[in-house]
Amino acid sequence: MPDVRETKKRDSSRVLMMGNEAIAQGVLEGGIAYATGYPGNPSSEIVETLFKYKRSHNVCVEWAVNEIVALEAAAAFSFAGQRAVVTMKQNGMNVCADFLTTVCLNKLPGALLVVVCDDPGPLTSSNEEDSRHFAKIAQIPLFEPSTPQEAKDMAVAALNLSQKYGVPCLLRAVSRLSHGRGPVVTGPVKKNATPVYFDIDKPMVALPFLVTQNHSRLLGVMQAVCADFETDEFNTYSGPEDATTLVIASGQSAVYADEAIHVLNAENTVGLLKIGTVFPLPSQLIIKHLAHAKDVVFAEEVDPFLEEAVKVVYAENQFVLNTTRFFGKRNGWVPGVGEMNTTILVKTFSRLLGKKVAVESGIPEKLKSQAQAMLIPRELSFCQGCPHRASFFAIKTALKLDDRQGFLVGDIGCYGLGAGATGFEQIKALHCMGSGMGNLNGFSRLAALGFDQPVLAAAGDSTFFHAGLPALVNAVHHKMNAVFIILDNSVTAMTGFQINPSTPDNFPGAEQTVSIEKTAEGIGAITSVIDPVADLQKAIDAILKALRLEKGVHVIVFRHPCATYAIKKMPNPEPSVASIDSKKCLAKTCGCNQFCSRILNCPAISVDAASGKPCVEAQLCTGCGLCVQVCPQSAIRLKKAGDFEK
Amino acid sequence: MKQSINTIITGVGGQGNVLAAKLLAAAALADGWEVSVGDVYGLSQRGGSVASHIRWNRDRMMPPLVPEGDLDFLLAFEPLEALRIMTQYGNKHTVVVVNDHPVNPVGVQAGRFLYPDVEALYRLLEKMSKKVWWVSGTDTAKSLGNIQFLNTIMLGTFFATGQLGIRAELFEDAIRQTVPARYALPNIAAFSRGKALCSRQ
Repeated sequence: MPDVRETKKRDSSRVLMMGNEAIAQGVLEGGIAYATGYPGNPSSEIVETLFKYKRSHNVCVEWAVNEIVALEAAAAFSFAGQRAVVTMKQNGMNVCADFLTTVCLNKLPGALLVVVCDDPGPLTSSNEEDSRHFAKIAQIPLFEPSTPQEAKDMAVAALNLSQKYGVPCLLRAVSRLSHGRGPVVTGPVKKNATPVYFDIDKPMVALPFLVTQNHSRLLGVMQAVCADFETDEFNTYSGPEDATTLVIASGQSAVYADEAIHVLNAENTVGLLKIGTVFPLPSQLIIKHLAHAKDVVFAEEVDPFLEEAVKVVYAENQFVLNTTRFFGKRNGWVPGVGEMNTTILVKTFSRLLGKKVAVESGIPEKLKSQAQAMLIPRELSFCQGCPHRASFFAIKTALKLDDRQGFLVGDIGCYGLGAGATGFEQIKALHCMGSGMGNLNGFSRLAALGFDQPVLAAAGDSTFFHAGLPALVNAVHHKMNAVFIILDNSVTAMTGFQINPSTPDNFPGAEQTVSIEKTAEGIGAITSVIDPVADLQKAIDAILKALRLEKGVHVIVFRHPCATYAIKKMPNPEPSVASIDSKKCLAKTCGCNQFCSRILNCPAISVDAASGKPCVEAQLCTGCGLCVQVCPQSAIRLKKAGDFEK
Repeated sequence: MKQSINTIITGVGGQGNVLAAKLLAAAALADGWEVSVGDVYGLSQRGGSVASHIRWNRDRMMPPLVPEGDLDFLLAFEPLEALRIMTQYGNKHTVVVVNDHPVNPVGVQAGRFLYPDVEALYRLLEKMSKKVWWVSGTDTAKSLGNIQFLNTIMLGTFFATGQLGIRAELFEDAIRQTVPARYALPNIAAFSRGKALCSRQ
């Protein structure tokens, strides 16, 4: 194989970048002055990357308390003629939608880019919402990159387009792109030279009597954008000029489609139209390619967004087009749920083309079933030393002692694992940020119908400020009887240990701390703060007391720093480890049902196969001491880490 | 028609999977290949299954996921995870390099599951694949004084066994460029130790 590699070897400007790093590079090249957002997989690394360039590129970078505050703050930069970016995962779009669907009516003097990272077939989400719909709702341009290089280039292009037309732009990535890595050729970082100025003669308002005229202006802008998109370089076609089978694909799915066509050796028969500027859809480009197509297949994630838009174009132009058959999510030729991949498209294309699949057949069924018999799960669990293990143990014990069929409602974050075995299956309702606290408002009102099961709501520290505050105010305002438990581990752990308002100011990188207990007290809740890891019994008693007192709104803050964060960033200078006295431990004959190993599910405690007795893996143990407190034989003690071997 | 070399590096969270993938991909890129990497991990911060898909070819961008059944090389830091990936992505031509040290899932530690018989697992891997290199990576890392070297040791063996099409010296360059200076030399030494483990088999 000739020169291609030789040329590339010399091209030192190619760097391997994660999709999210490429987006960060793109917004820097696009001249942003401000970057913010709310952490959420798979989007978090964009702002995390930008933090590294905060000083060198003179960009203001900060996490916001939630997505709508982030978007409103970023918009202010665009009101003052500057360029700004705001990042989030798909769920965050719902949170900021209220502002997005009104700010789109104003002509922005600067540029505003919303980057959303969707999670199809979710790896780390509670839904697989397709954020592209928000482009249509707000009537704003939508870019969908398919490679890290394109993600970088589109971030620059979207900022330029936003400034050109004074309209916010949406850039939509998916997990595989955000967390995938590929070669990227970078460009120069643009210095922002626009004067910072807010023209008070051009107020940014969306008052009722202005809405229709502004909406009309916006639709006109979108027509102009559409005209630009007709010839945009992000929309490409490969394959024979007059291909009768046409694949229309967007985003990551375009790369899967390209590979599937290659696998089937169908490059000379199938055309691939990759759409990078998905909304407003460049209809003339679509018509041009529909003109030669008899069969059209769609490849996209998750909803048939592109598919439906193309069908509208087809319907509107049917009088000039041939009869075309469509194959996509709407007629089941492509799965309507979950993540796309090459294999799915190979199956769809080969079925359509009547071709036999020539790919490797994989492992024979017989060996596969032998393997499946061996493949025990690697279950999710709280990390060793995780304070949530103590909190959920306290909740479980208190509800058991209370004995009235009580239960816990919660939301998302590391503590969402509390719905599974590692959290003793305590969470019985779990949806979105702060949802448990809102649910509890309703549960507390069910008493009027004779409902007598006690209900607790849990939320994390960052969640409390993100979405929990309104629910707490509502409960106090309506004089409800409710017990809220705030699981405060000092950082936003699940998404990579981000600093949040509750982070103590002695933590590295922390800013001004906002006290959860003072906030709750100020709202009017009966508030207490307990370290559940240091004193499990006290944590149990606090819940029981609040449940039995019944009157009023109670906020119990369970505070103990995230153990994994602590090991990374603030290691204990005198670490201790648990040590089990095998003489005192009665193992299976104790009647404790193996609290320390089987019940607590701590990664640092395992059962010795030969003796049936639990033992501590000193390398893993964080010395949190929870097992010490639950052992009925007092067989576990904490020792200084160095003394362990003696 | 085969379009790219498909590799998966798998293990358990905390074993240095993602860094290993990053280094391998950087070396492939420096050798003039098109490269695509996808890290696959779930919710758990620690202890869960992790897999990085690394694909390289001459001239076109690939999706960051290896198509099921189309795996060429598997580098596994843990035997159970080797079997998990092999079952989904492997085929009879796959070359497997696997660390022989099991890491118990939390369910095994708690006594709810039994870890499969390692000998039986090994024999099954052999039946499934073209060749299995069974490497004492964890023991070697311990002998070097730091379990964190497991990933570079295993990559050393991996380079010595497979026809990866990537020059090993470019991998050493990748270590120098990615790893903090004080860890670069020990990691390159660990890489060499890993290479030597291959020749002993």
